[in-house]
Amino acid sequence: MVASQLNRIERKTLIRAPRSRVWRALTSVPEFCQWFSAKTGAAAFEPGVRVDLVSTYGSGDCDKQAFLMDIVDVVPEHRFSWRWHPGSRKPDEDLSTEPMTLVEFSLEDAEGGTLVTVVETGFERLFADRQSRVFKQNQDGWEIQMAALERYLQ
Amino acid sequence: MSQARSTEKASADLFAALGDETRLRIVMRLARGESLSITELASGARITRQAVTKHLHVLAGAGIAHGSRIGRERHWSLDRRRMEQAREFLDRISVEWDDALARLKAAVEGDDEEPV
Repeated sequence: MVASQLNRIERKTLIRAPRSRVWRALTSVPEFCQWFSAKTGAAAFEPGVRVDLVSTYGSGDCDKQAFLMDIVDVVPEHRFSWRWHPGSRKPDEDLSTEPMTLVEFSLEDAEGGTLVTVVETGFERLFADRQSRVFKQNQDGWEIQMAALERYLQ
Repeated sequence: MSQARSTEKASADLFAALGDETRLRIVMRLARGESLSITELASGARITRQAVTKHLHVLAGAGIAHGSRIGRERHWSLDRRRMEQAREFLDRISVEWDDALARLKAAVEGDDEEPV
């Protein structure tokens, strides 16, 4: 649905390596954990599996934060996707009944390497109270918001 | 206190309220700055005044728009602060992704095996 695009995040990066190499970094558990800065006891990312992880990245309230990934798709060298609870949270926060967002990594050949795209969708379904808690830290961004709206509605 | 609470509640429905194409278009028209009547919002929009009214009330419920009576008609305008909140949330997540992708890139390009 087109209207939901206001609530999606899309990021791309060109990586100077073959698709097979990028795919391995993305989906091999030890390699993923290294660049994503996480630890897990899971052996592999497979569709339908719930993976428990602990973040080893950052400091303060993000540090050592447990999170989980519900793996959706693992299509070799094409698509790797999962559902999760985005952003940081307090240690005592129970998100178990909160709707998740969908994260989709896709790979395509590009000149000089591999184009990696990550799209995260489903923010409109996040728990209302968690949204407002996150919102408390807000500052500005009206101009960017309007630019996004302009682009979307053109 | 009660005002803070109602502000939070308004934020709560924000993404849901924006998850509709017609409402996005209404928001876009109001974003130009001037307040508009329901008649003005309905004109050229191919929707009825009733539909516009319904959507405006959803936007009002989320704290995105508010109406004030001018003469015989109610004029609607945008509450920019609510929109800032939505943007801020997505911006924060976006920065986290930029960071993660930079680390993926560094990890892959950092090793010398399998050059392109």
